[in-house]
Amino acid sequence: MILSANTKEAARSLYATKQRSLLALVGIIIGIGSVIAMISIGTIVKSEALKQFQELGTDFLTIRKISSSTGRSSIRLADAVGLPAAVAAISTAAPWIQSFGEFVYAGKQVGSGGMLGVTAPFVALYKLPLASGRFLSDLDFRRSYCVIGADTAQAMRSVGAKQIVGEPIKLAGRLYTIVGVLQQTSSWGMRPFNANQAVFVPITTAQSAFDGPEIESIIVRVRSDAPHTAVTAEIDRYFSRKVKGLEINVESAKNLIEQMQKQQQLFALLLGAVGSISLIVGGVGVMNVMLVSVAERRQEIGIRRALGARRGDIQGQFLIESLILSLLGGVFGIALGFGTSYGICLFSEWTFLMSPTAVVLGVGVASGVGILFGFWPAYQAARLDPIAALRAG
Amino acid sequence: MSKIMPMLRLENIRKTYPLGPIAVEVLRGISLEVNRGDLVSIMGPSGCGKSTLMNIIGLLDRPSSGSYILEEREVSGMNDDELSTTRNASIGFVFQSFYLLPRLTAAENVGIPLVYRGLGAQDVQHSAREMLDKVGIGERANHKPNQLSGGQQQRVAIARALVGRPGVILADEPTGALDPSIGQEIMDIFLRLNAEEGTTVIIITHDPAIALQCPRQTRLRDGELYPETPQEVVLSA
Repeated sequence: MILSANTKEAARSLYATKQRSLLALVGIIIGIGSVIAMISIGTIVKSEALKQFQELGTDFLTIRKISSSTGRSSIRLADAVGLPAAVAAISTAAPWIQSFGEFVYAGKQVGSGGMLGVTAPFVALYKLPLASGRFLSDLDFRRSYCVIGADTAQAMRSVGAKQIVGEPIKLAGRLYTIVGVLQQTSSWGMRPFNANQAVFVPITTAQSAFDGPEIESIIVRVRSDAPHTAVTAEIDRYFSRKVKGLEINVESAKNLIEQMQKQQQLFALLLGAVGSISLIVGGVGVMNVMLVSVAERRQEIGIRRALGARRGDIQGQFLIESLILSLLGGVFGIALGFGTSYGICLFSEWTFLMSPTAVVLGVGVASGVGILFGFWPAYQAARLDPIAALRAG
Repeated sequence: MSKIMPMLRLENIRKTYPLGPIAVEVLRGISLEVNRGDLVSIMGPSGCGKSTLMNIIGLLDRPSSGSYILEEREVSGMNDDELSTTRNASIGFVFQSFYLLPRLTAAENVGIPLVYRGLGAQDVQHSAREMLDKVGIGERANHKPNQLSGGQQQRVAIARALVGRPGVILADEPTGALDPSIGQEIMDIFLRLNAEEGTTVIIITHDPAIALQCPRQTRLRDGELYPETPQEVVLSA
């Protein structure tokens, strides 16, 4: 068959000029690699987001004080705790305070990071599972009790702690007693903190112990049928009645999803731009190599024409050659793209996924580039005058 | 059929090339009939229009005017694809400088015309080896052209010209690049094919020693073709 003979011939010709062929592929490899990385990271981020929402649900709002609020106005603990009683759509409210410090056990540092002053509903809202002991309760009012994350507990065990619950631990210079240990969770997820490396103390204790004892944020769970915009308006009214000059911002999980999507779109746009430019550059590289190949093989074209090759046969031969060249680039590019996204996943602590769409798209784009940029050289080869081509050489 | 049609018939073929403001007429009304089983030489000095005539007979070029009937079909009105297909079916080229493809083995080179005919790899292989045996270098089937001597390369080229069983073999200075003794071996192949199998051959040459061996001889001079009786040439040589 002409097709299989052409394919064999094309492969042989590319192999004969392998150095040139490989150099021409660099652009294609980078182009396809970017496209694959773009698609694959998009898929991974989507699945990560889904996982996080499955873990936390979407029926919560985050209330934050806007820093432009006038004077010394701030969210008061009593107002925050009073939210569910005042706003019917809110089922739970958990204000929290954050500070940072080092965690020291038995004279050795066992961690450092976020110290969170929280109320009892916090654990339920953020779905933090307990490994042992208990979580904080309202009865721990101003007591020096704390709950620690899994990483910190692990660090304590590695410096010799047999039992964790009941042990003393020094947090930012103050001594606390551990009452509970959390299970390992996904590092950040939708939470604004890393639960595995954080410690939790009663918010009343935090108000006197932390450096910045102001409530910055409240997380509230909304009854699922309540429209978020109506609830947001009601929260606004509640706080403007309670504290003069306090301005707050209410963020819903939906907003967060939108933000995440925007971010991902930007990322995709960037990779897409890099990908398209490299593909054009790569395509021109392929075209260049093919033009050289046509010029070098003018006599061969003449001989083939004399032996009965039609223009279409010659065009097919060179198109297949550029197609093989581009597909080769596509294969390397797919490997590069998956390698890149694997690296990004390692860095971002995401679960790596192989997206079959990306493979199909990569192969498709590579073939497209091969045919598009191979067409002109192949057309030129086919239009060569057989007599002039025979004399060349 | 009462009348035997010739293999090919040229009638008043003219070829004019534009050269700046003037037109140069290279062929001035060539008429030629070649019958099945003929072995014809077309002899002439370089620059007499031999190559142009060969290109026209070989369907690589079109005449400016005149009629050309090849195997009972008028070819002057054919489009490029039809010409290619007819070339593949009816013409077997043998060139002065062999024109083998360097990356292909001898057998693969021989198989090319059949590949363009759409034959399967098995059939192509089989026919190619058969033809190589016929020209006496079957044992070199897997050699690349650069592993073969000039005479061997020309044998491969002849096998390639024969493989598609075309109506006519068109040999353009087939011995021009070879030592006289090797050239004679090549000439002997043509003579044998013609005598034993009735293969129709047209040999274009400037070499009287080659032309003389052909049963039928013509001479191309200033764009016109003259028949020559073999005896006359023998006497004048």
